[in-house]
Amino acid sequence: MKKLNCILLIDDDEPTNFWNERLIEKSNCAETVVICEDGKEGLDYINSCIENQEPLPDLIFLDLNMPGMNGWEFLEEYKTLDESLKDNPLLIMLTTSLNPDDQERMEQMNEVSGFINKPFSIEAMKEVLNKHFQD
Amino acid sequence: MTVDRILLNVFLQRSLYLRNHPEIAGQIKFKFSVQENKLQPLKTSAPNESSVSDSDFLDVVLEQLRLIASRGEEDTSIHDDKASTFAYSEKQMSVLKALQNLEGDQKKRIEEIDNKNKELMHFSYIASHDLQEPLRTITSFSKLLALESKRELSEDGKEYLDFIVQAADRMKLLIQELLDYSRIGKNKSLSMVDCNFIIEHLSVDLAAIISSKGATIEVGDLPEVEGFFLEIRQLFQNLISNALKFSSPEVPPVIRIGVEKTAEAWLFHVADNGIGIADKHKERIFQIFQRLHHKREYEGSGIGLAYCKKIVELHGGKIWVESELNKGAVFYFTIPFEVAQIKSV
Repeated sequence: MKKLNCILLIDDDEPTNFWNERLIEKSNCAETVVICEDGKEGLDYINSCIENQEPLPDLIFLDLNMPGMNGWEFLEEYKTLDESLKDNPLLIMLTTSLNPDDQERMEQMNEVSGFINKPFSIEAMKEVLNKHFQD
Repeated sequence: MTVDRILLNVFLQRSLYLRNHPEIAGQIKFKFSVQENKLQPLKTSAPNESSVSDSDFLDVVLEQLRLIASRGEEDTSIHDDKASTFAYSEKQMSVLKALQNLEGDQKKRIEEIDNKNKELMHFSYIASHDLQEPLRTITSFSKLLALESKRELSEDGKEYLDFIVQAADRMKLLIQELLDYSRIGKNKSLSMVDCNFIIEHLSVDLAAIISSKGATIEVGDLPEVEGFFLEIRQLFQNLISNALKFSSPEVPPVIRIGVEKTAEAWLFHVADNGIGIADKHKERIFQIFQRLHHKREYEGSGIGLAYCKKIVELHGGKIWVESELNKGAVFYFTIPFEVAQIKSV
């Protein structure tokens, strides 16, 4: 399995971030994990990568329900980033939302490559890697 | 059965229904003004001796509604008198029919609200019993584990245990708040509520936080309103607490509370000089469990303003905010004068 350079986790819940980070470590699929606690922080991180000409994360896991800038609002801002830059990170929604309307809305967004229901598992991680990061 | 007789019947049912369901009075009133709008454009037809002018017709309809409301559902004689004296034009008949259709829609809506209420009650029951039971098990056994075996756990294990205890405590709080929320205005009776009295008492209750924040509260002369005492107290408490909580870090909070008398309602405002709210969040803040800040920055579950909204709507009013980020916020809400009158029908 290909090892990614960087995975960005955007989620406000500390236990969730702890869980996801541990899982990524265990599956040994990324060099670094960056954690941002809401959409704004995630967006700031991406913008700082662009400004400093650092590589963007390969993969972003985005939560939907967050205080302040939530997942939807993040996606609205994310859309407006430069086309060439946002081709790089793959964006997967990682949510507890059981609402089918949310699922439908996610499917319609070009920026979103998939969605996974929490809790995140090693199997789900492997599936993402096999599907999107084959050599 | 004549159309006006049908009209009478539906309004009797409405007043009967209102007597049993005071909580939806606000919605009924709204519907009623829609009906008035429907009537008004028809004032142009030429009156003659045998017909009723549309403005008179409007008066007849309104008078009839007023009489029905004041005399109760048994009395139908007044209407029979009127029906024999007036001949309605085709247009007026169509208005009556339109009213009747509206009423049909309204009955459907009322049935829907009824069903929703039942669902909510059922949900409260599930939340209080079925959800809390397994939660209690999680809480008690993780606490037992912490007490008896914490030394044997690895550092990771201890951290996992902390997460479990914290999450269970938080869930307990959320369930409790959800239950309280669903009970707002249940089994309560209306009374005259002195808003000055409420603010005086709140200033005492909140004295510790007011002095620690160096806050000033300026209050105008507030009215007595007819409403639910505990709910109105909670409404003011939540708005004042928010103003204290979301204050600017550098500036001591100044909270101004005042009121204006409008045509149909008291228009209250609670203004602060705090951190303000971005335009795009002005609706979201009134939704349940929605928060704009991380738990670490500002505590709370995000139910306070949802509470306020439910309380104001219970009184048939509206609540909204005017604000700019970093420029303070003004929360407005209305308490209609007629709340009690409709509810006591």
